[in-house]
Amino acid sequence: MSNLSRRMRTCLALVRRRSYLDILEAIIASLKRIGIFIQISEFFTCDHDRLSPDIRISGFIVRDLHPDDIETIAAFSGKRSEVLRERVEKFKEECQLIYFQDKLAGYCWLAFETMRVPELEYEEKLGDNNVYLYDSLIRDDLRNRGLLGLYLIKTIRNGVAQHKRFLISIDISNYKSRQACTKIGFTKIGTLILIKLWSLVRLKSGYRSLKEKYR
Amino acid sequence: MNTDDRMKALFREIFQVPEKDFCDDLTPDTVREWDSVSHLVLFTALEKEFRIQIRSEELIDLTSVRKIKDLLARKGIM
Repeated sequence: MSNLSRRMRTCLALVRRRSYLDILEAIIASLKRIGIFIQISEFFTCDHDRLSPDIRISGFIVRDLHPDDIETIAAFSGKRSEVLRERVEKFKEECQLIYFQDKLAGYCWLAFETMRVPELEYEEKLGDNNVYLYDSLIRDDLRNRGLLGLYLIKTIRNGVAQHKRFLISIDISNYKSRQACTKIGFTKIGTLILIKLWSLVRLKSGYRSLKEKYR
Repeated sequence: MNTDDRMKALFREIFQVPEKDFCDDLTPDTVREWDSVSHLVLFTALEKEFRIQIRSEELIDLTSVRKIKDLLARKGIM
């Protein structure tokens, strides 16, 4: 079977299953091969306490990152420690570590001054009381077990009590994270689309209107 | 209602799984709606529905219908 007909069959199967996001992902991946890069992310905000009820799970602990933890987080995430150190020292960002039963289960970064989304080439100052949650990671073997949901519910509950508003961006293909955030109480405020044509032309959509919604 | 029917009802309500598709092999990988928050909802719903206490290490291990049934069996349900 030729490559093209195999792709056509896969595409038809996705249409039959109504997996439109998978189709979009397949199209984006195919375009990338010919030098057309497309990045789509949705932005959500949460500034109310109409959240899921607080759930208590023993052995679940969240603590702030200590400078000594940077090497551990670098190894855990696969990111360079200089990058992580820069986030703390230059951008004054914080990281919270999620422990489950005395083992590191994941982390989440919090930005207070600037929202930086490098993959979308987007950078904007955050207004007062805005917190941008980004680069969250849960260990592979603990994904979809409620830990990130629990972390977000607790963090937002505490933050909203201090009049904080939380922002989050999620890649369009990450269905489960988008679902989880919507269930927690996040509402969508915009979509950013970046299209790069052979690294020569950049087309951006949604950038101007987004910043008006969280300033 | 027997335990299986009660489980089917929970899965329909939380994960929108039609009764005809309910089986022991359902996992977070095969059920699209089974995300981090839904897992917590499932945990509280199981405790309420079956009047049981689920420990945190058990919560992490509830990764398929089969495992949930095993847990309920260990707790004397089913």
